[in-house]
Amino acid sequence: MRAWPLFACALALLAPLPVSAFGAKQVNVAKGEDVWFAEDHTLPMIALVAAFPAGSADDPAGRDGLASFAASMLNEGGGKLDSNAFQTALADKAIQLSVDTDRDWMVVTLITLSANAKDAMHLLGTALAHPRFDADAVSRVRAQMLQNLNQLEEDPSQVAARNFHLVYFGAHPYAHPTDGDAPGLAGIKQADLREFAASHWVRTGLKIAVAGDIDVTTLAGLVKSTFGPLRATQLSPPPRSMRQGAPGLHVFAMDVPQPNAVFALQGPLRSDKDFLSAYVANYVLGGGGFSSRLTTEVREKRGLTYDISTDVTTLRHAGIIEGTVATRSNAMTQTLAAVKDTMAKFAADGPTPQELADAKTYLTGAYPLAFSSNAGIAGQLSVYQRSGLPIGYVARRNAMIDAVSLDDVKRVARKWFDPRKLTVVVAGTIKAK
Amino acid sequence: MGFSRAAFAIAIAALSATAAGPAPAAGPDAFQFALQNGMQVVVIPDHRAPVVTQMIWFKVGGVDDPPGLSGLAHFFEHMMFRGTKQTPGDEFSRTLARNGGEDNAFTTHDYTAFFEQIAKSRLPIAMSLEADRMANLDLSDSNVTTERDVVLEERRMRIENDPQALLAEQIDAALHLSHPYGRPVIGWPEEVHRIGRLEAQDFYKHHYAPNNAILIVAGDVTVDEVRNDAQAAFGKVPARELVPRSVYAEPPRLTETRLAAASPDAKVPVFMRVYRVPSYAEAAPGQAEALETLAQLLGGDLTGLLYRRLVVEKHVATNVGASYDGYARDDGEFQVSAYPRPGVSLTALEQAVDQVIAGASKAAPNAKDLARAKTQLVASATYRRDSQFALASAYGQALSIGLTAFDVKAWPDRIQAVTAEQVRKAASDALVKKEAVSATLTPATR
Repeated sequence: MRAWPLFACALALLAPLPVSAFGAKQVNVAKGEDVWFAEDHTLPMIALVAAFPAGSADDPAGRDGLASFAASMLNEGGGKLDSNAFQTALADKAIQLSVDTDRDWMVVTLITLSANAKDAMHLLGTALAHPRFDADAVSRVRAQMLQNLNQLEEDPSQVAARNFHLVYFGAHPYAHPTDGDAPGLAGIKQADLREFAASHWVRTGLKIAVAGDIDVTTLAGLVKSTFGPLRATQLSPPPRSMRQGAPGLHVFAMDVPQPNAVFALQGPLRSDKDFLSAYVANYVLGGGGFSSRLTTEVREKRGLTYDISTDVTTLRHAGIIEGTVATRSNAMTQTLAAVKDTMAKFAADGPTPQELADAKTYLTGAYPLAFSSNAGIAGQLSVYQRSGLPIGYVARRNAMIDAVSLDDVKRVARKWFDPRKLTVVVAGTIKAK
Repeated sequence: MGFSRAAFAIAIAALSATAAGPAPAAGPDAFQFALQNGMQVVVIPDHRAPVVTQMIWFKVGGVDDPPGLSGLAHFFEHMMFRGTKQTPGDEFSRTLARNGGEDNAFTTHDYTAFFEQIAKSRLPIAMSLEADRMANLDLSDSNVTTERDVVLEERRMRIENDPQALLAEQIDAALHLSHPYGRPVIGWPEEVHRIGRLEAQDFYKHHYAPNNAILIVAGDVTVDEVRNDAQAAFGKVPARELVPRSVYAEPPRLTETRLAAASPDAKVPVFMRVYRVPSYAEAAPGQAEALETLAQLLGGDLTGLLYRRLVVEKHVATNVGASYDGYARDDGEFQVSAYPRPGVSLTALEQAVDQVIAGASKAAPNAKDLARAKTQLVASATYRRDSQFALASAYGQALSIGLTAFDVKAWPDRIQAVTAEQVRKAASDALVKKEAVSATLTPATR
């Protein structure tokens, strides 16, 4: 277990580091193991992203959706403030508190006017350290979550995504939907929520990224008063070893005009030395929007879809090369064949030198776009924190992309982009032509 | 929930999430000028990062689709990516991407917008690409059939796969008796099938010209830089004679329209109501701002009256929403939606909604609630400044419907000036059922 490093030497850790090295001037990133800070006083506002290792992979057996349920209670009060009082206190100061739960993390985003930073942080701290889980609020949020589950059954893209994870991860805790299932949600009691919050909303493993109109000293004080009262605990053990992927076609029948498909392969972990090469390779194949090979082949040449893309997703314990496409029922077979052909050619030959050069100039040239707003900066820094990267990565990243060679990308294309291993999940009905 | 009538692009979703209204009085200024060919230009300096957002808003949209060809404006937005002699095929997006840029476009009833986000040093490239396709689009080789298939897939994705979107499309069709706001921007499928190259070329000739366009540049630029670059790129594009836009009158409605849809694709019941109300372009001074404040008070967040009464106190709903869509050249819309708690009938839910609305029409909001709503709206303008795209969009949207940059800048002050009585009167005047469509969606067995 690692000690909470912030309070012992907060000011030293928060010494500003200009990030002009990577091209975003007038933004300073402060260095700390757990608190990254980009100071900018242009606008009177602050964005803060706090990530707790409290994702759905931590749901206990039979309590699918517990992490997400607990997170959804974050704006339902704390300490002496019930839901009504808490939500009124946020709204009176236009403080925006939102939360998102994925498989590994609970990600809390706080947007506030800088004049209200102290109130915003105090409310967040109260909700985290002294959650109430009042019966009527629990009942209300449960009803909302159950209704959301019902409603996403209307949407083939959601049905495909949920079933994809079930198929792809099998018995692993990454398999079940992050927002749980009806039996799991129905069985969750106030005590379960309390216990989960007490054991998972903790300082250990917490990552904080801040951008905007505040000074280092004030921020350090607020971080201490907000997150200091949380407990430090042992992190949960890493999830069980997993079997990734279930090659072949899995159809989940739905009567919809446009079936949706998820197609995926095992990819490198974020810590894998192949990661950036695979990231560049993915840009050429399916990550590059209108310029990608898949968009050219499936949309531009054949008119089979409005949107096809692939992404290199990294969970803490799994990497996935994951794509989505949607088309009419009688074109899905042709579409999936075009995807596989395009991928097979890419695996065999890799990108052309021009494609690699274009990928690099896009990826490095577009990098500063992610750093053009306080909300964007805090979000991007948080992603890097959660990926286990050092803060110096912000400045080094473009040079690392430039260092990827044609041989690197050809090698990872052969190694990772094998269409014979594709797991394909379709929500909808596949019809003959 | 959103069932904005203007939701036919990736980008507009981001826009409507923050589209309560334009920018605040504090902070960096926006600057406006015009080129000699009539192109309007707005510059919004923001020097925090060395990047820019360029948007070009054409004052043409679904409203301008010829009869029998709904969807043409949106289809044409797609064709704008099909190349010129100088930048053939898909080289437009490829050139931008090679330069580290991102681009896309979106179409609504009133306007069509194209945008690029790119490093500041590459702005002249983005400008020259846009100027080229404004004047020299070459549709002679393009495969219209393929792009039509893409658009029909887009329609399946956004509308046909989603029972609520299908119902919202029919609500709009029922709400607008005569105005083309009742036609879907993405088009009725049968009419999209009829669009051909000639129709696309005609549309281009009649509507795409610098004197029908607004250029917005937000980011790490100065006014002088943009003036020079814009003059060099767009200044040489000649103005064209535009086909005058049709002016549509909308007759008063005699009575409420009610729609009751049952769909096997729906898994949850929902109640929706859309009122035809004055837009920012039409409203008397202060009226649109009062409607904006009313929407915030009713359904802006978890402290909204609808949420408090229906979800928290009466337990008749799991979720509710209210929003004002006032950025339209002609009529605006005020939308209310509610999901019943299991076991609660849609009739009982609608009655509860009506009680809250009747209350807002009779009694002015209390001072604390009003202050809270205004605080949130004014702060939303500050939060919007954080995003080049959102701020540029606020100006583009406003100018496209005939407002001025001054209106955008004055918006927070105008919200601050809204009185409790104005809010009550806005509810009483505008939220009247004969100017509304009330609709229910119920799950049905197949």
